[in-house]
Amino acid sequence: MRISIERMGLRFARGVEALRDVTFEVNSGEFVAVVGPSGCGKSTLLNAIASLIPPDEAEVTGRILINGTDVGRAAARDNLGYVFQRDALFPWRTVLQNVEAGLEIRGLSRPERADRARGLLDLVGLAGFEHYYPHQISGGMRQRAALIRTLAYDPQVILMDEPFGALDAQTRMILQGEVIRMWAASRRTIIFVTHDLAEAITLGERVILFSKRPGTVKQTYDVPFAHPRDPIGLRGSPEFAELHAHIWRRLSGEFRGDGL
Amino acid sequence: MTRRVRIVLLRFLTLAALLLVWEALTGGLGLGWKVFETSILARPSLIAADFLAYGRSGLLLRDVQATLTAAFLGLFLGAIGGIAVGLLFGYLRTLAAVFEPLMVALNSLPRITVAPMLILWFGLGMTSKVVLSLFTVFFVMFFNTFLGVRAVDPELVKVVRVMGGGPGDVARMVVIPSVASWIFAALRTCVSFALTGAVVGEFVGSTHGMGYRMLLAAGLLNTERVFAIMILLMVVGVSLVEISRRVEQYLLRWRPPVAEMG
Repeated sequence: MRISIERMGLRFARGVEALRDVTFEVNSGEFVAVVGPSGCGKSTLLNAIASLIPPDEAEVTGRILINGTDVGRAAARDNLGYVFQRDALFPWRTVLQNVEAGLEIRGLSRPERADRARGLLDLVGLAGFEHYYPHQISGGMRQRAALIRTLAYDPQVILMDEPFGALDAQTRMILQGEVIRMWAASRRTIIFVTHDLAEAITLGERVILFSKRPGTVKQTYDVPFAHPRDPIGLRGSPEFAELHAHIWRRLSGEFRGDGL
Repeated sequence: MTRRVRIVLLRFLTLAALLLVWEALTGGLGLGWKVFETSILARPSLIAADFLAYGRSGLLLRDVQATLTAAFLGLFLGAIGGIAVGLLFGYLRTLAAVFEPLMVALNSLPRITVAPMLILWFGLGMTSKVVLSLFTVFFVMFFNTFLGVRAVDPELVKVVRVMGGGPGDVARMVVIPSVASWIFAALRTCVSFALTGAVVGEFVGSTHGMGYRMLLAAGLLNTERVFAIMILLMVVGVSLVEISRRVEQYLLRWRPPVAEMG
């Protein structure tokens, strides 16, 4: 599914202008990373794409289209996955029941759900933890469970909002590898928001650089590395370092004067 | 000997020592250490004897039954009422805003002060005890349910909506489990409040129940009976709270464990 964002602006009712004149496209099956300083409206952008912003909370101008349909309409939202900053698992459901949630909403039978969920749990090394509650497993495992909870119902578009921000560097790279594998196998459209430039380059086929608030597209960079990538190997390569330095010069300009 | 066994053993030894000292200080054990008159502090052996007599007379069972019936009816009705009004206020913000001062005022009123009024309205029978018990339980349940509705995690609601869930799915997967956890957490407090409500109601005016029997005994300077009923109430209270703690623990097994005492 193709996502087009056309001259989009967003101002919260409290007066903060979060986004201004944002225009970019994401092709069907493309993996795009959006990077920018904290508070630049990246998360707001994802919420707008998922039409999770109540109309009385913000004034939105411009358009967001998914396959040509405005996201205000339910049809566009139907095939969407969203992985949140914190894992946002249901604390009262076991890992298995969490992963099944989307399938439950879609009315799959219990055995079908369990079958599908167990396959995915296996895939990310969570087999054996089906009946654990979220508080009983580590942060990395929780985020994995949240990731496959989204994959379980096979959405065509997946939005990810700094999903690995709270994890340690090691776990983070492992999960980045898993996202790459998952994307290479299914070729879903992904918009991955992060404030970590290295993560953006590791994952994205394209990196969209956002300005500080009000957020807008500063620059777009193509990332030439072939997929599937190996996050750890990639980071050691001179090409990676060069691209990182190149984008960083631009990005650090945005960080400056940001109070950081 | 494991630490656990050692602790249980020490508990029994402490209790036994305490009882022996108590027995001696009230003139028992033939030691002539009598410091307290038995009309002021009853002697443990005499309390035990009275307890048996109380049990054999059949009054004990009737009193426990009367008090527990009132307490459970109060608990049940108070919980239902509290949950219903809590849900209503949780969802209807204007209604909640209008009634909030009243609820806070009523809640800060010491519960016992309504008892004389309730006796006037509902008489000396069971009803006034049920209503007092209900009244104490109602506010605990009401505030917990109300806060539970307000504390629903908006992020989890978003998760369900993004998955394509409608309002029904949001209720089933997020709101109900979330509110239920607040309600279950209030259960233990409500159980002991319900018992207190029933006993206090019996103090103020009644013809049956443990509270009634205790007041009667105190009037006759029958300290053994007063102590016997106190111990009985302790046993009943501890059992009820322990049962509700287990129920809560089972229902909220998904929660991270928290350190607690009692």
